[in-house]
Amino acid sequence: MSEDKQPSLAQYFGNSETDILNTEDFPQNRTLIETVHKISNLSLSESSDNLKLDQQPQICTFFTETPVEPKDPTASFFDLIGSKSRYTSSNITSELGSPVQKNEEICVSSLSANPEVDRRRNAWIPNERARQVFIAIIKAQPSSYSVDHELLTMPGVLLEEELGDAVGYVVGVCLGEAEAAQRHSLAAEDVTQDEKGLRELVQAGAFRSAINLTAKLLSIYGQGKGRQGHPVKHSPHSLQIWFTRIALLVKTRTFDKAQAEAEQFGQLEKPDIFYQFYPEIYGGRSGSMASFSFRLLLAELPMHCGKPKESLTRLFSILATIKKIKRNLTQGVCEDGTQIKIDEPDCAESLKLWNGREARTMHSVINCAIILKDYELAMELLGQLSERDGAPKRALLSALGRLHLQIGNISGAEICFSEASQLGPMDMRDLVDRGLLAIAQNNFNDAYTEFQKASNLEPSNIMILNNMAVCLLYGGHLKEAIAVLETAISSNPLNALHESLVLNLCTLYDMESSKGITKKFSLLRQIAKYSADAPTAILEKLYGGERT
Amino acid sequence: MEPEEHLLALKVMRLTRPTLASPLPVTCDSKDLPGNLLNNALQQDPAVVKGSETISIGQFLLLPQNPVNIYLGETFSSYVCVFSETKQIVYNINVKVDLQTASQKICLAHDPPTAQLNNDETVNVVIHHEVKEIGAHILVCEVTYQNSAGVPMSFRKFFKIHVLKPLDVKTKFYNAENDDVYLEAQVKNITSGPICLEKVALDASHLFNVTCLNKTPSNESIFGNITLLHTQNISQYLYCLTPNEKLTSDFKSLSGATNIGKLDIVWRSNLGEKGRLQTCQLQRMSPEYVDIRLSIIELPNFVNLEELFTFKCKLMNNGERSIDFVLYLENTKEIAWCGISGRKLDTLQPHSHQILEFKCIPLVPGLKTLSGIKLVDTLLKRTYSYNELGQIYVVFSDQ
Repeated sequence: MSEDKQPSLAQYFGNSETDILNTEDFPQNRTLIETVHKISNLSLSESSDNLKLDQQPQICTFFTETPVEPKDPTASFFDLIGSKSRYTSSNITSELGSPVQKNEEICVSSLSANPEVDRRRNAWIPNERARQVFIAIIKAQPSSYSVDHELLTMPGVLLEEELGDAVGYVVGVCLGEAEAAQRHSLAAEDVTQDEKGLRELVQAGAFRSAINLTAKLLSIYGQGKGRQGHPVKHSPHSLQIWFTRIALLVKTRTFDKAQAEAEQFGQLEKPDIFYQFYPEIYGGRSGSMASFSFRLLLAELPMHCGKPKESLTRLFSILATIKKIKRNLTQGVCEDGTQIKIDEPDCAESLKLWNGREARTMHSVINCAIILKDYELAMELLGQLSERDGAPKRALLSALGRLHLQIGNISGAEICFSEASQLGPMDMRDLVDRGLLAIAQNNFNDAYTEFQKASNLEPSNIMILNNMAVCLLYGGHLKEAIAVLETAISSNPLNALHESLVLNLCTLYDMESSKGITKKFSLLRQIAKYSADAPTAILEKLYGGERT
Repeated sequence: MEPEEHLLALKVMRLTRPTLASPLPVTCDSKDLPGNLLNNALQQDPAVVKGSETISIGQFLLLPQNPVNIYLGETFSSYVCVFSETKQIVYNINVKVDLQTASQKICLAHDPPTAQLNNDETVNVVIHHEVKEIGAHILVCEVTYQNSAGVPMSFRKFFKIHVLKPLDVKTKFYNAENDDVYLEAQVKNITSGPICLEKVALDASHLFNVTCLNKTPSNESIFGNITLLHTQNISQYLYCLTPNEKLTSDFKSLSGATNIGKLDIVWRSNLGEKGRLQTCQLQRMSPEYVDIRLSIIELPNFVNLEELFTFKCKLMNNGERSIDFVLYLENTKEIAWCGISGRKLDTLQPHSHQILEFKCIPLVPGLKTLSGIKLVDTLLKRTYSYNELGQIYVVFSDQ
């Protein structure tokens, strides 16, 4: 990416134009990125021949045969893609494409490959207490310094039992053991017992199996079951496994368990989470061994467990540190304030990275504010975000408009939507927003027309089909609504067996006849066939129906 | 109900507004262990909005999953679905939906009968009704049909609905000396969630002209762009009502004008769910009705200490006889009158008024009350004292 490109979240999901622009600077990357595009288009497109491939019933074969997806420049949420200018194309492929045998190597090699990128990425300002410890360590004789246990992070896996195949269990209960036996879901044992295997499981969507594997990998680090409260040496890699584990617990909405294990890390402020704590291993290196994503995840977690105010405090504390880092950078010193001179281009890269992280953290604050029903705060932040240089103003205005709709302020929503649509030609998102506006005005027929227009632009878009079905129901066309959803599933089961769509369809089945349960079971059969995992909400809906 | 087996069955679903679903954003950096897998998973989620993936304000409509309260003034909408539970063909299906309230029975749907219903077919009725009563309502769905042998059959199903009060409206009135009436209205949200007040307006009775005092001089709402009211929160409105001219000239009818008007309130909640309420006719306490009335028509707000100032009053005779008055001015510690005390005024005819001009000098700085004016009706020897006629703020002169 060119240096003068303004930082924004848009670049993380950049459109293809910017991507092409990027590659022009580095011609050797062009073919790689083009193939990446082909691949990502392939996986997202709904062309019929592609579907045949997708409809293979066995999850294992479908997923394991897919190579680890090459880096998709549109998919990163915080990365400053600019930093990639320092890698050659072969670097990128080796980084993510080739299997890595020894986990530690990844960190060490990337460390040596570009210390600047790592410094930028891992920079964090330790709190005063941690700083005192670092000073004490430097002053003390090598390895003679002992630290109070209170200052240590001593995590252990708390989840007692392995997570089973939830879908398989429900299939067993509802459809019988014979059908359950036919299900081939990817288990932790089916992959190599390392980081690569873990990624395979995540890629396959077998999140529960992946969580099981993290427990095994953590026990190698002496942080497995029952190991909490024992001092351990942390490494970037062990913390990455923890991050993956807790991220997946959140993704599977196992919030209480995630929270219990996350609590052992506090807010990643203890000294042993920093490189400075281990001068004998990392030399003079400084910064956080825990990644920024981990920090953000831990800050977000309380809001999923009914404690949004705690999240808000933590998120604002992260924002405050980011602001400090940005201030340090603009004053020409290192991120954490140490008086080390950074080259101008490196400094610009760093600012870009931290601007991106700031925006992402603000998104989390917005999500938290919505849970808190503090809509004024959410609106204020959306406004601030859209004023930032290079912000995806149109997408933000559209989101702001929908927030107004959610709370019932129709005129406010209209203003936002019309402002958004003036920023470019009418696109799918605008049409859907107009449909939602029509619903707010209790005009489901007009809404249907808008969704239909949107559907003409993206015929395979599941969200639009779903919204059309909802309009049909409110218009008194239950059967047609069901047909739309069923067609969506049969034409693209992998995408359409989505939590909210399944919930909608189950609601319609319940209305349609007393045979809803039979239809739900056939839905369950499809989920068992295509999905490695399914949210509990869906399973309860499918399963709960059986008892009534 | 009779336990007999029916060939048809009926289900009802309340159609409240759908909600907007969005995925839970779990993301990471491409250098983190999961690489871009989590980000890709999020991006491929059908409920994600491109361009704002990590903001949980989606476009994906989710049907209501939990029962939602219904409030007075909202529209009760439901989907009534009648379906066949038999392989036989059923004839002349008639679906009638009524709503039984505490006071009346309202017919919500009575479509012409469906000639025949095959297995796997449904009769669909969508009903809408703006609820106008608080308390228990019963939705009565009656299905009549004939089985394949032509035997008429029928069954009824009942659904109980409890209509709650959405808003608590409190009003206060102030009768001003110049005959204006100020209305203060407090609107409290007693629903379980936040609402947006789309419209709060005073629909005044024909006796008064309304000025809404909830706008800045540049015509913007003092509440900002939206009037978002969280649960248990109160929004306060102020209106000024000026009696129309007919009324001001006749004090008796002005005093009798107690009907102020009605407050018209429109609110919206989730995804535009609308409710509207109109209060009953608001009544003010009628101002005291007196034959003789002295009221200020011109008075400066600020006056300089120890400098002469002038103010004007209107003396009205609402009675049926002409009156001769003697005007007395009594000095107080704060104000010295300038003029003749004990002066006889011109005769005041019934239903007429005259304008009196007073001059005085303030002696003490600060907020002071005009007092010390006395009128004596020479015929009845009746004295009218005015000790709280108006207020002035006495300041030190600039010089």
